[in-house]
Amino acid sequence: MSVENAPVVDVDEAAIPVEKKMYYRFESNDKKEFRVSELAIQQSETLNRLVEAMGYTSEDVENKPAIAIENIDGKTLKLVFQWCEHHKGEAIPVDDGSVPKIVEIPEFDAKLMDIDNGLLFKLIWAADYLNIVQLLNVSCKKVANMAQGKTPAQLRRVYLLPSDEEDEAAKRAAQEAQDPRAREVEEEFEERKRQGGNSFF
Amino acid sequence: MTETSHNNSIATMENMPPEILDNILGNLKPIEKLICKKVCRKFYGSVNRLNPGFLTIEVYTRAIRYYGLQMISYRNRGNNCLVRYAGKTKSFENSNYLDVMVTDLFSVLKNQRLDLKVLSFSCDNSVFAKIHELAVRNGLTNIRAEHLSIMTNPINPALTTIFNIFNHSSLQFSYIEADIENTNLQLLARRYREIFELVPKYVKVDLCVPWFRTFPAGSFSKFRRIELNFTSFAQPEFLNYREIGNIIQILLTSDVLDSCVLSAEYKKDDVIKVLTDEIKLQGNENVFVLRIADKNESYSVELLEKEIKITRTGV
Repeated sequence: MSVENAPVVDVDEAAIPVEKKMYYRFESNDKKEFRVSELAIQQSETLNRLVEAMGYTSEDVENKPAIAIENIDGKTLKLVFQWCEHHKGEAIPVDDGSVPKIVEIPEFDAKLMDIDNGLLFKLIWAADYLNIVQLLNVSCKKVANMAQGKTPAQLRRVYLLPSDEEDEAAKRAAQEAQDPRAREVEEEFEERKRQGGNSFF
Repeated sequence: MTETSHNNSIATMENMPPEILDNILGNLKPIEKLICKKVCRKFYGSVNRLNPGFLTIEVYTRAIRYYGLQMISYRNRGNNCLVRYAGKTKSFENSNYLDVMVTDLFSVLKNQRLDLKVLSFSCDNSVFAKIHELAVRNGLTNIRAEHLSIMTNPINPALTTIFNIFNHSSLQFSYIEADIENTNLQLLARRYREIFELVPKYVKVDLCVPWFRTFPAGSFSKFRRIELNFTSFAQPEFLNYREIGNIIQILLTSDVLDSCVLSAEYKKDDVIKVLTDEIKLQGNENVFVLRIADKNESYSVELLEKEIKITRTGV
């Protein structure tokens, strides 16, 4: 896709500083290209480090190939950059575990995440991969909200988790993988099923 | 960021990396987290990595209250166990309520991230016996609860399990028994001795004993901080001269005692007489200084209404 035809993320003009801004170009794994402001990029620790390391000038960003993001498709990346543009300049939360994390989902984010579960999970992965802390927090919160008031059986349906039979197959696969921690969890889970299959939680 | 590569994978909850799953489930309320343990192995593992968020847990004979949650009550109906929480009742077929209740309790207590401040038991021997059974079966030990509060009859044989499982820095132990008339005081005294042999010396002990003759005075010389409450079930109500003398002597000959508070009905003159008889006393009104030459130590003894405070003051 050429630069001219690249989708441009909506930008809040009023929030644009007076000085000349630099827009970086990124390309998704399905060859969709995006122009993203320098300030918005700062929301992503991964991308921010990347562009700092590249040291592009304003000419470079126009003339050099778009920066490829191999693991994320265009549909997801569009959401990511819309979020970054909307929240550019905002402080990035630090979670050191010292205080309980309380996450509120702003109206803009709620509308942005009004999407199917598959895309929402991709958004979470993308936020994690690009290390966008607050986007990861709000998207995880959105998924957590789906669990409210549900029974374990309902949760399996909501999250499309495997049935007991399919879970057995996963258990065998985990054992074959010989991961000690996975085996430990398996054993604990099985033990609980044996003695406390009938437990409230 | 997780190490897991997302490349070429379909994003689902099933293949969500553990760190992200922890972030998701970490948003849930405590009861929702607990319910999530039954969803699948992955959720079970994730919830066990998260702090359940309970600072206090109160265990009763047929119920448990976790900090921040409503009471969860358990009972049997026929062969089934009924669990009631937040106005809803759930039935578990072919289950005994004690199995379900104590399994639930351990599923929380086993969590390594649990930061429990108070664990309180106000229950009968059936609960302690079930705790003993499950703890032995699962090899449970060294579960941390900063403050342990136990209200029961010490004669309960399975009670000692509690002191083997839980690692605590303060202990409140109160005697409760409906039928006090038929209490075997000799057995009770022996049980107190057995129990306090199991309590580590660094624990701050608050003991409420109903009969002075059951008080395991010899077991108490190892503790640094003690609170003793005598709520006498026997007549007379007052600690007599000999009883006070016995306690004070033991405590003052301890090499480690820093402070002791005795809460009891007593007569001030009895205490002064004991102190004067035994040790050189420099007294003024209600505060006395005891100098014990043998130990090269001094203690202050405050005689308050229904309370005697003994504090080590140094050389």
